[in-house]
Amino acid sequence: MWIYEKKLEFPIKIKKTDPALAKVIISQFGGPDGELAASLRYISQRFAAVTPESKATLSDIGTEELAHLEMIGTMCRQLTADANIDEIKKAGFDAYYVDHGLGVYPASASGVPFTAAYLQSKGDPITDLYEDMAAEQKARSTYEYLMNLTDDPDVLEPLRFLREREIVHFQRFGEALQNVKAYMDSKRQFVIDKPDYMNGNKSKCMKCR
Amino acid sequence: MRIMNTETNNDMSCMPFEEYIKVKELAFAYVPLQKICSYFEPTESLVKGTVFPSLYKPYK
Repeated sequence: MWIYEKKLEFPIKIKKTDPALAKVIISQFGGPDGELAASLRYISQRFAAVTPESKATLSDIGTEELAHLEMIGTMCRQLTADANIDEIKKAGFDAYYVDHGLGVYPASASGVPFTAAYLQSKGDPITDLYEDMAAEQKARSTYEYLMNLTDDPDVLEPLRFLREREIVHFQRFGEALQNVKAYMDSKRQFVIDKPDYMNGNKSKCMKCR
Repeated sequence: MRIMNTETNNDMSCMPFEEYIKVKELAFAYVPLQKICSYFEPTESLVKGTVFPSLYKPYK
């Protein structure tokens, strides 16, 4: 069950049209280390999580990644909404334009459509958390590369915010890893109720006859 | 608990993570558990992307 809040996690008001920038930022929408892959990864992996804490971490962060997806989509839209044909051609945005117009489509910067092959759900809670920590690092690097490609403060501010969230998520997955590790290492005791025929009350015991 | 306005955590009396890390085996990653020392102001936190000065690591 989800609750949608009709607002962005971080406000986005881009004044300058820049289709060339939209072309690379789209990679954080539907690219290999993008927010859609992140969200699907965590929301899929949570079903194999073994502790309530790690389940909650995966659900919460998977949900937040959807909010980030919304932010990235908003940025791409605002960067292209007012672009004319000359700007589209000059920015090299024409290849995208011919397939998707000014719509926001989940694809990488190089135009490869989104695929679930970007993520894994291995069924091993430790393995999954290692992947999640790596995913946060890859997303952080991607945000740094994107920040290198622009000096528009309207774009830099949300990118800076999203990059910081990756660092916080890495810490949370690291903590979830300790939590799951402690659970896997703990000695577990299984208790079953004593069956009737062991109670010495033979009159009630059907199997004893 | 301190409310911070600065970008750096100057409170040396409080370490924001476990002081003793119990490494029990090889071939396993360890991220220290966070301990809360101080907070940013709520409005500042929403801008920065974290409420914890110890997790605030800006790029360049």
